[in-house]
Formats: sequence, structure tokens, C-alpha cells
Amino acid sequence: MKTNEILTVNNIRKSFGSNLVLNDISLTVSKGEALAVIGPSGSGKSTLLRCINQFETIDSGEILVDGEPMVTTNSDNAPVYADKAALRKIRLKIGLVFQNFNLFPHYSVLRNLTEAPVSVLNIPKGDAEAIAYGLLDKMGLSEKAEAFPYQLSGGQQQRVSIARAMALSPEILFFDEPTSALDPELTGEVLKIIRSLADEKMTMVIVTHEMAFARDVADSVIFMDSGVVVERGSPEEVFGSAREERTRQFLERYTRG
Amino acid sequence: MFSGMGTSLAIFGLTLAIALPLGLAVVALQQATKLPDVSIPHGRFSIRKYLKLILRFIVRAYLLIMRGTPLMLQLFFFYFGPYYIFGIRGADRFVMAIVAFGLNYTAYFAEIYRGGIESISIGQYEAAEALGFTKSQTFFKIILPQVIKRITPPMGNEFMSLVKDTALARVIAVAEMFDVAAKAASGSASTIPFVMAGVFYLIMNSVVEQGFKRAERKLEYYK
Repeated sequence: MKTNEILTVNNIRKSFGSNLVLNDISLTVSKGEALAVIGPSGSGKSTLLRCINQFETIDSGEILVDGEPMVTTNSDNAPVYADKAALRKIRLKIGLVFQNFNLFPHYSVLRNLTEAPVSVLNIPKGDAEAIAYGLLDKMGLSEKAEAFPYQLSGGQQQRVSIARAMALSPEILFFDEPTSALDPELTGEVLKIIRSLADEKMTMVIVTHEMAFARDVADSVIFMDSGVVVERGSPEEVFGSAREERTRQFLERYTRG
Repeated sequence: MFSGMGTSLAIFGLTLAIALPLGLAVVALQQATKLPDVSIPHGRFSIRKYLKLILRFIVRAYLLIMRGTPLMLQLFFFYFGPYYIFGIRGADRFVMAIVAFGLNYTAYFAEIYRGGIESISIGQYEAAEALGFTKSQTFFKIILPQVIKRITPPMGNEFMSLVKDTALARVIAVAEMFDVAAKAASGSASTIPFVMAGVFYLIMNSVVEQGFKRAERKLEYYK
């Protein structure tokens, strides 16, 4: 198989009741690629992320992570998920950064970063702490290791949560609107970190409303609307000369607003 | 007087020893038997689903009965019930008092636990899941510590109620503090024993209050 494809999504469908949220979505993400997913609210971006992260089950289609099938479809067009052990293995290849950070409030910053490596991957505490300090340094938060999440600004919290996801050294990192819960003056510091990860060729899927950022950082951009991928292209193509009328309309509204 | 104090303290301690863990078990059962919000219209007949429904009903009925009837009545029921229903004689008063107190407080604790657990945002579970924590790791490492902080104030209330409720054990003639005081009062035609009993409950509850204050302060290191 193509070994450089970290994520392969083929024809997935998902509905909530009678509401078809994902309608035949297909996409691939190659190693080292930063993919930005843009689109209006309710276009299915977050649901797509939640399906790939095993928070929602799909109705049909297939998802492969690093060549390993997470879910496939049988001859009756029903989804067949991998067994528990395989799903767990896949889960550990995926990192997720939430819109609302979801840090563990009762743990110090350091413990937020070390708890999963220690109790999930059985990495010795000392090693996990060394990794954590390295990541905090990268995030510009070395002096915050002993702080608790409530003592940090939103931007700092989001940087900690990026470090927390990175601490498990995932193959691919997902961002679910990482700056949407931040005050405008705090988005910059978070975007800077994501940009530095892109420079290091971290494989990433970034759902975002920050168009300038997507244009600047992403290797490719997907525009989603009403549960379908309307178009995919390089940032220049999508932002500069979108093929589809819907994309142009959306971007126009955004750049005007 | 001292043996009465000892009995009261024993009721208090044993009730907590039973009700604190059992309450958690009841909540676990309640959460495990939760049905999905969206019922599948053409779902197949499944024994599991009916078992869940039955268990859920039992938990609900238990919580309603324990919280909806007087503890005094429950004490009578557990003490006299075995004889009137099954013809079993010789139920031990103290043991039956512990059973009644334990089951009664389990119901209240279960509701407090439930409130605490439901107050934790779904994001905490999702973050833990995304990081690969197992379900039990998620509960014991991530959820429970936060629940403990949130339920400390209402638990303080329940502990203080329990101190005073131990006096009810005298309705099935368990010689606890209040029972001893009442007998001493009628024997000596004096109200002093009642005053002493009152002071006893007050001292016990001030210890409980101090303990909880300290616990709350200890948990103030995060928000």
C-alpha cells in the first residue's frame, strides 16, 4: 500500500436521525502534510473529525489510519469496525487538540503532559517528564510546569493541550478549531505553535475559521459545505482561484466580514 | 453515658463504611443501565436491553423508597420485617439498625455522587479517551478526583445529618446516646442528660465540620 498515506477516508456517510451530516466524504492526508479544513458552521467539519477520532460511528464508508483499517464496509454497506485492540492502537497514532482545551484541572501542567505517557504507554516517569519539559520548552511554557490550568491564560492552556497531545508522539495531529475559544489577542501565540509544527513536517488536519492562517500554513485546503467536500486544492488554488461558486461565496463572506 | 456515645459513634462509622462505597456502586449500576437517547425504532428483541430496563427500574425504586419514606419507618421495617414476613426471629437490633442506616444513606450518597459525576463536562471524558486512557483509568484518575472536590460541600451536610440521625436508632431500642440520655433523664427527673446529649452531638458535628473545612481547603489547589 501507499505507505506515505497516514489517513485515508473513503466515502463515509454519517447522519444524526434524518439529518445527513457527512455525505460521501473522501480524503487523504500524506505524511508531513498540513491539511486545513474550512467551511461554514454545520458543514460537517467537526463531525468528520469526531468520526476519525472514534467519538462517533459512521454509517458507511471506510477509514484507514497509517494503512491500518479502523472501519470498513461490508457487502451490506454496513460499517465493520476493527476489534478493540486494533482501535486502541489506532487511537494512539492520533492526537487531538480540542476547541475548549479540555485540560485536566486537577493536574499540574507537567502531570497533564505525563499522565497519559506513563499510564497508557507505560513510559517511565522520568522519561515522560523529560519529554514533557522538552515540549513545554518548545511551547514557551517551561516556567509553567508546576502551574495548574486555571492559572493560565486561554492561549497558554491551548499550548499546553497541544503539548499534551504531542507527548504521545502521534503520527497525525487533529485540531478542532483550536483558536475559536480564544480572545483575538491570544490566537496568535497558538497559531505560531501550529505553524512551527508545520515547519517540522508534523502531519496535521486543522479545522479552522482562521482563513489567513490556513492560507499561510496549510499544504492543502479542503472546503466543506453541507456534508460534502466541495473542493480541495493548494491554498493558492482555493483562496486565489476557487473552481466552485460555493467556495467563492463562502470566502467572500469571510474576507468581507 | 459512655457506652451510648460509643454506640452512636459506631452507627455513624459503620453507616459511612457501608454507604460511601455502596453509593458509588449504585451510581455505577445506574450509569451502566442508561439507555441511549435515541431509541432504535426497529431494534431487535434483546435480553440485555430488558435486563437493563429492569435493573434501572429497581435502582429508581430503591432511591425513591429510601429517600421518600421516613428513616424511622425503615428502621422498624428492617427490625420487625424479618419476623412478620419470613417468621425469622432474633434479628439483632444493632445489626438491623446498621442495615437500615446503611441502605438509607447509600441512596442519598448515590444521588450526591450522581450530581458530581454529571457535573463533569463531556470534554474531560473525550480528552481522556483521545489520550488512550481506559474507561477505568478515566474514571479513577480523571473523573473521580474532580467529583470528590465538587461533592465535598454536600457530603458535609449529609455527614452532619447522619450524626443527628443516629438518635433514631432508639426506636428499635438500640441503646445509643439519645436513648441512654432519655432513660437517665426519666430516672433522675432531670433535664441535664438531655443537655449532655445535645453537647455530645454538637461536639461530634463540630469535629465533622472541621474535618470538611480542612478537606475543602486541601482541595483548593485547583479550580
